[in-house]
This record gives sequence, structure tokens and C-alpha cells, in this order.
Amino acid sequence: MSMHCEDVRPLLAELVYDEADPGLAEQLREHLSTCLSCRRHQMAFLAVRQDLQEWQPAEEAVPNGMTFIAPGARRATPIWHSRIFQGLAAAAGFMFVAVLTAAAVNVQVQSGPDGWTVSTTFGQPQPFEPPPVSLDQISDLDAWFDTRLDNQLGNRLADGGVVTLASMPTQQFLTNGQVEQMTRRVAAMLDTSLAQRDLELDSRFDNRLENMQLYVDASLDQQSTAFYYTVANLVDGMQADHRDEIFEIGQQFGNLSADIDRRVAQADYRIDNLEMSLAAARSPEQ
Amino acid sequence: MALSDEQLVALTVKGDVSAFNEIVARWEGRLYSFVYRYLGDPEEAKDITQESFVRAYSHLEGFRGQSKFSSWLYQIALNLCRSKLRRHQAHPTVSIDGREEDNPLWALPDQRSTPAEYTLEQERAVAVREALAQLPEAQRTVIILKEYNGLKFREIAEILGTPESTVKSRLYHGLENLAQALGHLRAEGI
Repeated sequence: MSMHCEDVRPLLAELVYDEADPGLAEQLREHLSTCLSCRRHQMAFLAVRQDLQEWQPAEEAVPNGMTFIAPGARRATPIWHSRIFQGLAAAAGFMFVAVLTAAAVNVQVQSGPDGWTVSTTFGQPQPFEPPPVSLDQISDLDAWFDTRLDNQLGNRLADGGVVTLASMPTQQFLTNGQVEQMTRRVAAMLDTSLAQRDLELDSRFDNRLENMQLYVDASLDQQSTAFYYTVANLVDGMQADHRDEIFEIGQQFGNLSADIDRRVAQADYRIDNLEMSLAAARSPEQ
Repeated sequence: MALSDEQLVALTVKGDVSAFNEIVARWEGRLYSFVYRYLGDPEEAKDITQESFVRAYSHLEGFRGQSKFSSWLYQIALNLCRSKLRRHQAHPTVSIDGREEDNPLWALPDQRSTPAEYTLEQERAVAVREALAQLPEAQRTVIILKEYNGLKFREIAEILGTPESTVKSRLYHGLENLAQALGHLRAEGI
């Protein structure tokens, strides 16, 4: 059964990618053998495929490959998931809130001659007393935080590093001082990271300039060399093609030069004679 | 005999880290190639490729094997690419390190061709890239997966979650648009 052009056209993509069923491909080819218009369509698609192959990125593969280093970070149970840590954190949180409240209200209990008195100076600023958080706990957190930041920084700068970073919901059980300390550390780390990033960008920019210069130099060299050879070949070719004429012109030029030289010599000779005659005529002895 | 992707996934889920590294080594080039041609920016392509593997690893236990692992990986990369494009469109920025160096005209000359030939080749590459970028996203995706990644219609349909007939139709219209856009290359002798 013969096919119509409007049925054939949408199927041409399958044919040019060799994915049409054999039976269908046979029918399509049969139609194409008799239909110039559809054949032009097919040729256009094949030409597009050829054009698409012109875009071959220089960087086809990931440079140096990637190394996946996430498993440790993902599989290991984070320290804040442990029951002991959660207990400590809850206790620290409770104490933190209690101390904050006491500091804000400044409850004072005093014994005196009239017995116990309780007073507050609500609203007056009081020096902040951090709650007793264990040193080990702070040290662990510190080390964990450092490692995280180091990993983050290292992996951002290392080519191809992959890491999954968890957010750090620790603020609720840290003292203000610790938060401030951590914040400063984060700021310092980010500064370092940004400075390194700047250096990296500078270096890339320099490299790019250098590459452009190299490209321009190399291209100019190539072009000047090609031009020199083109001119040289042209001259060689012309010389070979017109050897006799060049020889004849050379001879004529030689003859002409000789003739000019002779005439100049004659003129010089005449001028000399004239000058001598003139000098003799002006001589007082005559 | 090399293990299949699905076998490597099973090993990874059991805790064999090296199995996932083998998956990365096997697919990073092809995934990068797809992402690079989709986004056109080598640095972003590297980031998205990395991110795709991280996402795949994080959700590996959720991979049910209903489709091929590679299709699932392409799906993740495609979704990330689309998000990236959406963010770009919402907040357009000027890249400080890409584009110019990515422009093949700035690449070092190929010693095998003369300067004139080299320039023509690069102009063709730029024209092709620009023509692809002008295509509707759906057509561009199909053409990249088909032409540069060499996937079958069935595989592309699996990645895009559309019927094969839709994939074929998008490919046909994409080729028609490209034929129109690139016709000048031959007309001008480029």
C-alpha cells in the first residue's frame, strides 16, 4: 500500500535515526524513491544531524572525574541523634532558659533580721551568666563543627568533591557566647573561602587572558606563515609560467640600463668639456 | 563480567560504597554531556552533574526499579536543569566565569586546520549551539538525548514520562525547526 506525503513526513525522524520498524522503513523508502519532495525533507533532516555533530564540546568529560565521598556523612548516625546527646542538650536548654529568665528578672532571695525577703529588679540589665555546659560537649561540638566547615571548604575548592552537608540546628542549646564564637568562626571561614575563591577567579582570569594571547599569537603566526608561502608560491608560479618573458624583460632592462649608463657617461663627458671650455674662456690669460 | 547498574544499586543500598563510585564513573561523562548541552555552561554543568549523583545517592532506597536506573538518573539531572533554568529566568545574572571561555572561538587553534578552516568550524559550532538554544525546551531535550546521548525513543519516553509517540513528534518538529534555523549555514557556505 502506497503512503501519502502527510503520513510519511512525521515518520522521517524515525528513519534518519534508524529506529523505524523494518516494515515501516521499507514502506518509507519505497515512497522516498518516487517522491522528490519527501526526499528533500529527508535530506534536510540528515543535514541537520550532520550540523549537530559540529558542536562537540572540548570538555566532553568531567575533568579528573568525580569522587563520591558522601557515604560516611550519610550513613553514620549524627551525634545529635544520640539519646545521651539529646538528654544533655535538653538539660542545657532547660538551664539556659532558666538562667536567662533569672537574669532577666534578677530574683534575689536574702535572709535578714525580718526573715527571708525575695526581691527582683525586673527590666534592669544584668551580667549574663552562661549555664554550665560540659567542656566535653563543647569540645565535641567544636570539633564536629570544625570538621564540617573544613569539609565544606575543602570540598568546595577541591575539584570534583561531592559531599552532603546537613544543616546545623544547634543554636537552641548553645550559650550566647558560644553562638557568637561560632558565628565569628563561620565568618572567618567564609572570609577565607571567599579570599580563596577570589584568588581562584584571578588565576582563571589570568589564564584566560594568557590563552587568548596564545590563541591570537598562534593564529597570527599561522596566518603570516600561510600568507608568506602563498606569496612565495605565487611568485614561483609566475616565474615558471613567464620565464621567457621575464628573461626578455630582464635583457631589455639590462640593455636599457646600459644605454642609460652610456648616455649619462656621454652627458657627463660633455658637461666636463663644457666646464673646461668655460673655465678656459674665463681665464685671464686668454 | 561487569555488574549492571541495578546490581550496583543493590550493593550500594547494602552499604558497599565502592559500588556507587562505579556507577558515578560509569555515568558521569554521559550525564555531564547531557547537562552541558542542556544548559550550555560547563561550570553549571559540573555542579548539576555532582548534585544529580548526590540526590540519587540520598534517595537510592526510594529507587524501586520500575524504570532503568540510568533513566532515573537522567530524570534527576533533567529536573535539576529545569529548576536551574527557572531560577535563571526569575533572577537573571551575568556569569563572571563562563560563557566567554566557553565560547569555542576563544579556544586554541587546532593545528590540523588552517586558521580559515578553524574559524569556519567554530562558527558552525556556535550557530548549532544557538539554534539548539532557540528551540522549545521539550524539543531541545529530546534532540539532545537522541542525537548526543544516543538514547532510544523508549528510553527518552521513560525519562520524560511521556508516550513514545510524543517523543517522536517532538523530535520531528525539533528537526524541522533546526533545518529552518541552520539552512543559512549551507546557503552562506559556512
